[in-house]
Amino acid sequence: MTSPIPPRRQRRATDPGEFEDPLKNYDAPEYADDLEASLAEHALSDLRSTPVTTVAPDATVGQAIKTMADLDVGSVLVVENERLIGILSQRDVLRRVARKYEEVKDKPIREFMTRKPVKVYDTEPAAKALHMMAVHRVRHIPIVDVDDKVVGVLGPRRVTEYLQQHFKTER
Amino acid sequence: MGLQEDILKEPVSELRSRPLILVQRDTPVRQVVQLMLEDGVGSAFVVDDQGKIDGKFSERMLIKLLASGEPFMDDPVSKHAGEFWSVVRHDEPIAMVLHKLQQHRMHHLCVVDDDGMPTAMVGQRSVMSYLAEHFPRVVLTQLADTRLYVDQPEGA
Repeated sequence: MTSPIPPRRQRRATDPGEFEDPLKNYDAPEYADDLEASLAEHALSDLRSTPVTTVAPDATVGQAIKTMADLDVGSVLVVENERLIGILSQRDVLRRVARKYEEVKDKPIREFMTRKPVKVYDTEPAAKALHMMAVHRVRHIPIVDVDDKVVGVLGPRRVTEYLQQHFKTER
Repeated sequence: MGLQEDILKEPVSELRSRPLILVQRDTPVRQVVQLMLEDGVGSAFVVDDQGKIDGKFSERMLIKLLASGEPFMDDPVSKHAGEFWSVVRHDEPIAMVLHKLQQHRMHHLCVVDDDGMPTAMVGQRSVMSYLAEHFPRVVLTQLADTRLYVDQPEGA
């Protein structure tokens, strides 16, 4: 009975003279101006994301709202064991809390937060954050690192500031 | 045209406007909150007897009032609408919206006509949508849900 093992494929030594660049047909994207290029190419880590305000899921609604008022921030991130589990934004307060505040102010925030919020990685381009804001219709997007730890939060105010900075530097 | 040139030249009317809520000075805060909730917007503008903008009530003010612990829902909105507000003319460039939103740290601006009468509201979300719609090659081609690693090795 003959062995079913096929003969080893012979590998030909690469001749440096025959090297073919695998990217020879790659066309680098062209952008209409530097601002468009920076949106597509700059990583979110290049943007100064707002200092992150975090609360524990067992914090009360009243505590979370006082934190938002004292720090004048549009959202607080809910973090458990260094992992992002939710977000409470001004819009969440309007929708779920405002009309029955006296009833719910001592309840834990985990019952009123938006669970599993959309997020972006800090290595992704600024355009990705804009995409998430436009498609998911949210204003604040948490930024996480490769280990899923929260490193920032990006709001529209920071994006407009970013656009304006580019206007100034290019004039 | 490039992104920067478009923002500098195109008028405010090119932005997707948000529902405009206009309320009288004596409207109760509770009713204003209900209107904001129904229209899904974060600001309402208070108008005077001539219909001109006289103040603004926003989610930001709502948070401050809730945090204060004082009852306010039955107060007239004018009592809490002292927050700074700003307007932009419909024919000004989009760059002016960016400038005013940034300078005054606001979420929304009221768009007014040549007579100073309110006609629409634009905000940060309008700007985000404008960027996404006018530059889909850069923005809307992004993957909706990316992961930095795969859950399982390929072929497993």
